[in-house]
Amino acid sequence: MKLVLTYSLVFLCGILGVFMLFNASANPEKLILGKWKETDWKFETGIAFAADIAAASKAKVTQPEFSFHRAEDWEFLPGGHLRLKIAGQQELLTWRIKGRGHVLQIQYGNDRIENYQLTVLDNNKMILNAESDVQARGISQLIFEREKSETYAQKIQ
Amino acid sequence: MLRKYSNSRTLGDNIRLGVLTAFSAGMVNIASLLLFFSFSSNITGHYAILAAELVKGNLYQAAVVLGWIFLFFFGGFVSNMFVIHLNKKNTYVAHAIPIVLEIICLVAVGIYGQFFYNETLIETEAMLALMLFAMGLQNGLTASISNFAVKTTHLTGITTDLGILFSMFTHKEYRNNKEMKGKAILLLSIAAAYLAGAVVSGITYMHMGFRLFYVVSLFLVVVIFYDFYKLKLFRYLSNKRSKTQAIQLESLSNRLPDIPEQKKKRTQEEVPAY
Repeated sequence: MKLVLTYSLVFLCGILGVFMLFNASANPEKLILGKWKETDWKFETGIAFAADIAAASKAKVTQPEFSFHRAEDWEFLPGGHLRLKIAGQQELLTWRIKGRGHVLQIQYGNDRIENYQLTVLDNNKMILNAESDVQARGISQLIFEREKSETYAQKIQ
Repeated sequence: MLRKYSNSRTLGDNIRLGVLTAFSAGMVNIASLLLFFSFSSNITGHYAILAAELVKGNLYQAAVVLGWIFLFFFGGFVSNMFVIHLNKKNTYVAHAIPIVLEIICLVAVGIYGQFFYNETLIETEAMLALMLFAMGLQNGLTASISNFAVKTTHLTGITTDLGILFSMFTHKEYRNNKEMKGKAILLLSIAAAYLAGAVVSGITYMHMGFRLFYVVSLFLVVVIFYDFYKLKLFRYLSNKRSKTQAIQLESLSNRLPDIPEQKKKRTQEEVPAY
């Protein structure tokens, strides 16, 4: 009996600890909601010619495949919808968060899927890592800042 | 595969069990990686991720990973509980229950994924949790009943053991050691089966999606029914043999009318009851 109690207590403590961690943190699916503005993007340091490629891409000499080059304003809506503003026009896509909350998946209407690593996601900043072997073998990093007027996440919380 | 325990198992028993379960684990691991962007059968990586998430202050992700690690541990715990508590009553049932539970978990993932999955984060995490529990069950069972000779959900230990074994084979005395050769064959078979399962899963995932989990479950059903069939077959053959013996004795006694009735009766009683 004593043994059963000890085991139950240990398991309960473990489960309680996990739930406490859950409660102490924000769900990425809720945290991501709102308007984000792309402020910068760069190739990770240490990759050969990264600076040159980044400069060339920014100057539109080359056209990488990822959507972040077409839209600078992203709006994550509830229900898995993503509104991109491209040259004054809007495009509606779908978004999902996968894994342990570390992968952002964006799906286009034509079933094209882009996966980004959610490296940083907090109330003010979001950093996505997109692996691109189209332009260069390396990892490009996208840096977003939350638009101040946005209150989606705050409303939900 | 499941009837025998610990040292009474033969190399063949371990190879059959290892190959089938490693193939299933390889399939599950790659399916989870492709569908959910996370591994479900190797835990070492999850410990590293847990540490990284804690360092970065991502408590949510840390909680998720901690929960997954706990479920893998709990799978091993539950598996061995069945093995040690039911082994004396019925070895086959004690060893089959964890596999049945694993099948239930994987079929649940398959059905939910195929018909109800809305791709929300909580669903993804819950399904991965079920898969990790299933892999914990499998690893716990195979390790427990084979005296830790067979571990099929991850290859770190196996690769290390293979490295050691192959270095030992540089000595002639070890090269001729039957037991060590058998171990090398077992470990190579497990590694090859895991890799084959992973490749098959990667190829078929595009066409099958969540139905892949039904295929994995089928392999596990083979593990269960292989022994069940052998037990049944053994019983059938034993019964048939005893019946034939009884008929032969009866016809023999009929042909010998001089044998007193009492002796005839005793002859029939001596037929062993199976």
